[in-house]
Amino acid sequence: MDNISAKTTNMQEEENIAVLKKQLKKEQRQIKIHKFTNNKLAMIGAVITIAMALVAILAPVIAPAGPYDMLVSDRLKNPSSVHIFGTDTFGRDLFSRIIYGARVSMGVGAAVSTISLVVGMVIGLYSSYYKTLDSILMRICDGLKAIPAILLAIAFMAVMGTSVRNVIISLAIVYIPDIARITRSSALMVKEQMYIESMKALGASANRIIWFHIAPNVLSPVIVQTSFIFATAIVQEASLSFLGVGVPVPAPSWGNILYEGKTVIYNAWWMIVLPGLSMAFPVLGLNLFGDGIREVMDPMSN
Amino acid sequence: MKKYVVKRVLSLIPVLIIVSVVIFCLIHLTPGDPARTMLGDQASEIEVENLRESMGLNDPIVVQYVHWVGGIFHGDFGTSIFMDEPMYKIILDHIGPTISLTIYALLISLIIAMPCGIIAARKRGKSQDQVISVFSMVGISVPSFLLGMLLIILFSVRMKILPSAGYKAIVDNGFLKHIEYLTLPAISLGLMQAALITRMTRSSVLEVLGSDYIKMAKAKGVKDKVILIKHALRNALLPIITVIGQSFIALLSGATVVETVFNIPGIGQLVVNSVLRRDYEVIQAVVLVIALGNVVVNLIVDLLYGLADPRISLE
Amino acid sequence: MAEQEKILEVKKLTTSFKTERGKMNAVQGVSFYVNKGEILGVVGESGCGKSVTAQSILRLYDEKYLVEYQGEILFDGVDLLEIPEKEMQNKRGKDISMVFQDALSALNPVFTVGEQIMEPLMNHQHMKKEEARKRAVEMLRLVGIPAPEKRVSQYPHELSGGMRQRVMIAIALSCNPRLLIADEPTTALDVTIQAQIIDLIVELNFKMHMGVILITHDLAVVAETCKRVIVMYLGQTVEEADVNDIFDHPMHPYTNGLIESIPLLEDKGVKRLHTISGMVPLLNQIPKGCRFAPRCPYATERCHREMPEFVNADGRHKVRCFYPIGLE
Repeated sequence: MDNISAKTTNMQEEENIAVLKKQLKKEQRQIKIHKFTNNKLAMIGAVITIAMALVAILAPVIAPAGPYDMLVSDRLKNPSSVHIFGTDTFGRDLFSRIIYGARVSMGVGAAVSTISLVVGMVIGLYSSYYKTLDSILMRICDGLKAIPAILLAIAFMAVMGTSVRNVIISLAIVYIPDIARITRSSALMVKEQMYIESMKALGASANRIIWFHIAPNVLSPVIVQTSFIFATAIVQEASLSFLGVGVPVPAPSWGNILYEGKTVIYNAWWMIVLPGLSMAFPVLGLNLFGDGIREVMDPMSN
Repeated sequence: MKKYVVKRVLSLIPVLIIVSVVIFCLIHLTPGDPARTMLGDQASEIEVENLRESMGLNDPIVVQYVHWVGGIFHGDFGTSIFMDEPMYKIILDHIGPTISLTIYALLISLIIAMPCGIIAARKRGKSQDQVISVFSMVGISVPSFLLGMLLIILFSVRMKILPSAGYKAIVDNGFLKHIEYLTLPAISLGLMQAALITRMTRSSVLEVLGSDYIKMAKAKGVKDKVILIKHALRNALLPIITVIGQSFIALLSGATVVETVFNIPGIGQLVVNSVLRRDYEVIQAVVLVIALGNVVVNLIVDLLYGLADPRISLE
Repeated sequence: MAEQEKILEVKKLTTSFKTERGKMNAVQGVSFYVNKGEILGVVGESGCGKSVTAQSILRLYDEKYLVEYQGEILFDGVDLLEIPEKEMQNKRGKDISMVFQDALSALNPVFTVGEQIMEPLMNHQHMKKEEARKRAVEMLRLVGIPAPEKRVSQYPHELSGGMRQRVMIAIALSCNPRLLIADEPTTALDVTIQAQIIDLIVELNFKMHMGVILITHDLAVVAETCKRVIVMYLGQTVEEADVNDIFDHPMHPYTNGLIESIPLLEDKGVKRLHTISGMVPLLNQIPKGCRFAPRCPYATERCHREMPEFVNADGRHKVRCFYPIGLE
């Protein structure tokens, strides 16, 4: 009798603990969401980013002129009511070019961050699971990380030739190791906590464990990193184009506009200040956003 | 100590091998014929074939790699097809301005970042902290080449107090002229790192200030100022050593773009010109040298860290 | 009983922290005193405000924008909450010292043990470096560290856990304080080492005739070392009495629960240890009436509604309960 009652109380206790744990988890999640919406800077960041994405998508609607429309009589005009951002050396409407530039620059950023996210996560997850694969892949990542990002990207562009596609490929190669690293290290931590060994013993397949049990738990640091990569990719695309090894010239990318602006820096300030601010804007937004999520995820920051 | 250094240096060998393979593959395994790309569409088939032969592109890939690495050990980093000088001389000629610019930028970023980071941590949540954090956020979001041009517009075009471009070597023009020409480039290069180091310093100091030994020091009756300077900074600066190392490398590579803005004849300009001329071997050599520098700086940082933190024994 | 000289008297101390969700009282209306040369035990679960009380006495929390103190903390008749920070600095480590729970994190990793003992000596007693160093070696010897001449120039991470705790005690005692606050000084240590450290504190208390506040969650330690005990629950004192009284006739149901949950050696056979049901509520979910009511087996409707006062029950025993055990 005594034994049975002891047993039932034990079971009850366990149940209680399980319920408590669930509550705690739910509460933590609510706190996180609360913290995020309360983090004004992060919200501002998200709004800026979404606004710039909308500008890029709606470019043909917003822009008063086409990005290549030239009016030779209107070369290097000051900002005015006709051309609110002025015109460039070919007489193209700068405002329209910047708006269309958002398509190229934000597009490159989005593509680079998506590719790095997907490929990096696959690499990171599988190398956290298979030791041999790990040592090979991580050594390659070490090698790639030993070369500073911009130099590596320049070298890639040099051999592949300039095009939007190649800019995306080379920047993705540069940032894949970052995601792979972060995924791997958080996956290793998750693996330790989640008794993956016992799941293996129970016959769960590797793919199932990796994608259903490990992957969801590494997402938050990876998303933070991805938003920073998005921001950096915008800057790097602009840098490459500015150096003449990025997006080929007539295309309206922010880097190209700035490159052109440099040649007339003494007479047309708007060619630098306006596209420059347009570029800094989404970069700031993405950085604020990434910072915000990181703060929400990091238990130390409270 | 000696043993540790040797061990640490030996551990670099696999990294360096990987780096060299990566750089090698970059040029030799990418689609297309490097010889054709270098010579352009107008070149004849025979010219291309000759260049392939002289670059050793017709050998098996492994032979090409061994040849290249073997050459490096003999101090032969390859040959430029445009410049009639040994590669090491080409690099040495260009590295001076870059190093000068990098060090100047690093100094600027440290002078700005350290006090800002400490103040932000001390005044956590107050207006000073908020102002600093807004500035550092903006600093991180404005790329150096853009900042460079904005500074040119402000200080060269409008106020006309600093030169907008060019480089004056110390040997020819003296230290002051040298600094005058490098100031705008160094500020534009250094400001983003300043922002990053500020943030790192802030979080590092904050972490230390929240630790038990700071409370203990207070319980011993140590004055607040002494706690900050003696007990907190010593500990907070440890992780910052690593950040400074990383910043140095980031500045070195960031110089590539800034040098183009300000027309400084450094490594960056060498790379960009080589890319435009499709002088692959120069690119290969420069990337290798920078990667090597990166690895060496990391080694030095590790050793310094070991010296500064008694918990790490260098035995 | 002859009235002894009080070295410290805390009157209605309330320590509250400003947080994002408003003000939270970590300690509320706590009163107690320590006599000269006496060891006072402070007992309670983690989160009951023991440490906050201890750190409030030294005003270790950053007053400017985090914390608010109310009440009085009389040390030698001087209210510590009234004196300026500069004067407080002079008292810390000199008149009142503190030993922390985890010596590894409380010792600064980048300074040698010697440097850390010398610091208060040079600050408070204006010793020269050489003199302070000599005294540091003496202190290490006093707290029972072998080969002190060698240890003095070692770093904290080079010592064992027990030795680090001894070093902390050496630092705390270096200026001959009149009051030592030991906040869970043995929690982080092995059982055998725990006994050694407690013995050391008792021995030094006897030798140096200083008052000691020994904070612990371990009633066994209290039983061995202290003369008087206060029990804290959720930021309040719930019971205060001589050690023997507390163990023989605990009056507060909480104290009773604590005592019954100590395993006794003479108990043979299988017996489930008593546990106090429920968990310590968070500070922002403090119950309205008696704070212990939700977990109390004897709680009535009145307990849930009203807060009992901390009153003298039978002359020697103070308790915060409407229905003290054994006093119906």
